[in-house]
Amino acid sequence: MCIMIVFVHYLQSQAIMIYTGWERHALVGGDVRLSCSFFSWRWTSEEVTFSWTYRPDGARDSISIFHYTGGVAYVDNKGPFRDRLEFVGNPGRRDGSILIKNLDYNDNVGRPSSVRLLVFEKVPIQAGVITGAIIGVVLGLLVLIVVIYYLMRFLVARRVFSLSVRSVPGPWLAALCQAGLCQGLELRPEPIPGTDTCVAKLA
Amino acid sequence: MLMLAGIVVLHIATIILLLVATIDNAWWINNTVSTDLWGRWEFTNSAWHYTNLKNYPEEYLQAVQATSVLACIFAILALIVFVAQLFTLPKGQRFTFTGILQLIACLCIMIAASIYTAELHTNETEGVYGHSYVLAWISFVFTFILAITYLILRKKSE
Repeated sequence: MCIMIVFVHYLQSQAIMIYTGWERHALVGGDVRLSCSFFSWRWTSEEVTFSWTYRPDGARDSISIFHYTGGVAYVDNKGPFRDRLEFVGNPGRRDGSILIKNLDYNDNVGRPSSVRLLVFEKVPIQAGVITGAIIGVVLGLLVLIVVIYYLMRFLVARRVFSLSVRSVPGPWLAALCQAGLCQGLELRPEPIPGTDTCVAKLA
Repeated sequence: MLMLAGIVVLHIATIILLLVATIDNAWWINNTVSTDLWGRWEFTNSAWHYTNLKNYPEEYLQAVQATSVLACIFAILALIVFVAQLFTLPKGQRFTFTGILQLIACLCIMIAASIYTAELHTNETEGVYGHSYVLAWISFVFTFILAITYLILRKKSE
């Protein structure tokens, strides 16, 4: 728990607001930074005192694992976090964060009203991520298919209803036949059924 | 007319069954526990307590959640599209769009119930499948029947 006591010059100490994360997930063997930043409308001096306390699951007493007072940081070297705790905060910038290295399963810490650290073998998937992803993808695909279907129908309908003459043999053959080279061949463009087309005969 | 009313009633009943199966947390039931898909009800100290699900294979649980929600969505969409197609479809044509949506809903709830059967609560001896699980399978049958009906049915031509 991060307890903040701020000594403000000349004035009564006002309430300060403390920001810590509620629950942090971390991997075995890794590091975790427990952040604790405080905010106060009044200007705070370097003479701020704060401490991190640790109470294991099921235990009654809490022990102090880190203490900062009078500009000097005191790191606990007897408790469960000895040699693994490092102060990475900056009291001048209102940051009282600590870094715990080389995590183990025994470091599971649970307290009712402050930072809670859970150590896992692998970081668990957030609730609802896969659910939301599956639902979103399927619905998106459905919308896409419907849009493409109506687009295709719209495009095909435009082609069917336009006036067009379709000559089957091809324009160069028609030119040849017009020059008199195909005797007895009759070129007749075929009408497209169901539409209005100009029927022309080349005889 | 009677057939139309029957189909609509069956479709609405199927939607209700799907919604109950998805929303009610009763896929696996014990004497004191009623659990899945969203939370766990435990009866301790003569009161029911609701807790989150722990120690579940997360991917499979979320896949079951997603597919059962999708089944509900597609069944409701199929009903809306059916009513729309009643007015817009040319006479003598089949309700294919409705049938396809209902078929997808059938597929989704089948996937949900299958994954649940195969992956969750496989080693537990104490407890039975609850009413939500049963309703999921029943709505699979109903959605399948309705899908086939919509794909075969033709709009009445005078």
